[in-house]
Amino acid sequence: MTRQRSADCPSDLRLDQWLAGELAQVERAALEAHAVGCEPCQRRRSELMDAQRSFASSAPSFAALSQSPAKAGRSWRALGPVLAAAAAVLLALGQPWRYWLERDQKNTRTKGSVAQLDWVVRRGERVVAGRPDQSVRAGDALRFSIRAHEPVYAAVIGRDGAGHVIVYYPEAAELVQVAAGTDQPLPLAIELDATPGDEQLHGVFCPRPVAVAQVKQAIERSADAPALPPGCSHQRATLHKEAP
Amino acid sequence: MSPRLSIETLYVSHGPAVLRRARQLLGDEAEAQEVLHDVFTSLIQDPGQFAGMSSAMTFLYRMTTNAALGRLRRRRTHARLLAANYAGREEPTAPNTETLVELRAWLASLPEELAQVAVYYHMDELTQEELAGVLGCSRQWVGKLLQQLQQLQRRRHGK
Repeated sequence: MTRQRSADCPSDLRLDQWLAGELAQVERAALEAHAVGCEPCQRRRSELMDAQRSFASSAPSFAALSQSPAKAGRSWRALGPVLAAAAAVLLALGQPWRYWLERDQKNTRTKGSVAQLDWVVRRGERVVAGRPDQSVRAGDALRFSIRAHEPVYAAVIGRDGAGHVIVYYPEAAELVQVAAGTDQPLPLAIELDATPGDEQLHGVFCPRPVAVAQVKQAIERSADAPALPPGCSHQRATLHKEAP
Repeated sequence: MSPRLSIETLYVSHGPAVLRRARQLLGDEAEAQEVLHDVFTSLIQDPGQFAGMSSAMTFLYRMTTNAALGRLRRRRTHARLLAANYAGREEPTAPNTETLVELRAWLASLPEELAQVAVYYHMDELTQEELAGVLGCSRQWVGKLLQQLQQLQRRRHGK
């Protein structure tokens, strides 16, 4: 990696600060004096100004941005202009998709558990809430979040039709703490493959750190009633893979 | 000016830089838009985050870099999960993007602070002084981080 910018020329950060009006008068004057005689800087400034104009016409409006609050889904690609526009329409109709999503998710709550694994399924541009017995297809992408009444140590584990158990979350030796809250997104997304058969999702929640290997082993031995450490709760859902 | 109005103003004036930066780091328009969304949603939820910062642009550079590096790391995790599910298949990669793809993979493998330094120094070509300003540390510390980064680079290239 070789640095290409001349030592005399301002960085993009400096140019951005200049365009945003953040530079003091002395700094601005110096930069402008340099730019007058510097062709690369003039070109770069024009590019940045073009990008500003393009942003004004093509980026999501601030109103759309601030009205798409669902944390579980906020990282979805669908929250680009297309979904922002769709969300704006739904808001205008008084039916924010968030409420629909939350209502649906409430129906999947695990009785007696301090926490619950939620997920959404993205198929193309469409995003639907996860359900305990859900039909899915190869290529569907799942994004997970946790709702917890109190901080909880969590794991997400999958078990395919052949009985193979894979730890999706966390990538650590012990369960990782998730803060209390309604939609605590996990840094985890999976895309379903074409392997036929039902896939199980297991959410495990413990009041203290527990070895991931111990939890995995418990699910390998009994997916229905894994022998988890005292105080841990378990949530299971089955995804039915539709034929392509 | 209400905090919300301030952030709306900031979105118009600084949003283009956030989006451009996220595009540059991630190489993916949709993900870049998500970073833009995440950065400004975070500011709407907690407008006091950049209180006391001398430059909102510096703050947003750092926020965007962190968000994009986080995504690169998750992408790496996701790739591993996909590799487990898609044994034998390979993600198609355009030949001309190979270097950038490699660079992003390398960034995702670096410790967080060094990944930030690599972005600011090599991609943004910031001076050490600017780098110290963005990271909020001394120039001496920046020098030390750059040394560590160079060592890792040499190791990466087998020198």
